[in-house]
Amino acid sequence: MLEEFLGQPAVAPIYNKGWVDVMVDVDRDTNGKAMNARLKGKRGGGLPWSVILDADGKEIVSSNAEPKGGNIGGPVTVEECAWFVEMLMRSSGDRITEGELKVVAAALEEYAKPRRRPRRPPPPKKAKKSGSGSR
Amino acid sequence: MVVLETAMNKTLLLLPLSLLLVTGVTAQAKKAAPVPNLSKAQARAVMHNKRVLVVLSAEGEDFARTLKSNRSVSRKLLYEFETVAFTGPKAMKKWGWQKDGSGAIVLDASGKERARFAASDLSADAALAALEPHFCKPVDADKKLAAAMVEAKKTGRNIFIRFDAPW
Repeated sequence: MLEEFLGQPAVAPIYNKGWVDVMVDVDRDTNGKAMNARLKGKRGGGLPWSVILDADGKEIVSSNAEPKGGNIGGPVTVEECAWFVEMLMRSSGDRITEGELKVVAAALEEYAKPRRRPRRPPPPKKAKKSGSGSR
Repeated sequence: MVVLETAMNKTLLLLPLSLLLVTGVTAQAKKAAPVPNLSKAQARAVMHNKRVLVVLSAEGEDFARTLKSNRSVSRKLLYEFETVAFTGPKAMKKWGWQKDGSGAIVLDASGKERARFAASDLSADAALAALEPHFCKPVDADKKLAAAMVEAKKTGRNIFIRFDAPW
């Protein structure tokens, strides 16, 4: 999902300008699983998981959304998309403009929206039984 | 050797998204009719270090389904190949298929043909033995990251690492 999104004509030039893309297959790449474990540490969440490092290999931000720490995976929900954009914002340096980030955010919204499950309405509140109050 | 590996890693790092861009892998493309998309399969094969398996089904057959239902090879098909399926005599002619019945052609990610197999070559346990020599050699994740760090330093970018699995 993320791969397809990042390859979109509106997104790919911006993404490639700001970040070096590395795709690691934890099952097929040699040392892929070990690298995933090493970089992820004790944080929760399955796959896909992503992390942005600086050129020295130091972590800037991961797909574990703050403050709760859940992995956004391939971002779909409003909250996941917001954290994905936050990840880009925190790691874009001065190579990416605010306008370009807005382009990516808008493209992500357009891409993710049809993939969202409609939210269930909250269960109706139980009506208080008449006569159950204090006499 | 080191130079070759570095060059290869650079190619692996830089090509995939550009290819996805060139081949127009977009949400719009996904919405379109389910036409077998060879370019998309090739772009994904570059990105994921896989081969492309072109499955040709004779009229009235679904050889792709037959292959997928073969337990000895179904997992490996998912892991090692981007599969594109074509059906009917027109497609078979286009692919220069001169054998009787269904079959499959293995391509590398650039589209170069590596092998072709009749359906009988890919039956039951024979399938894995036939296809295994065409699997891509695994790529070392540490080497990918090392190459990405060199590239990031050179270009002043950060590194976006995406961990995923074929399933």
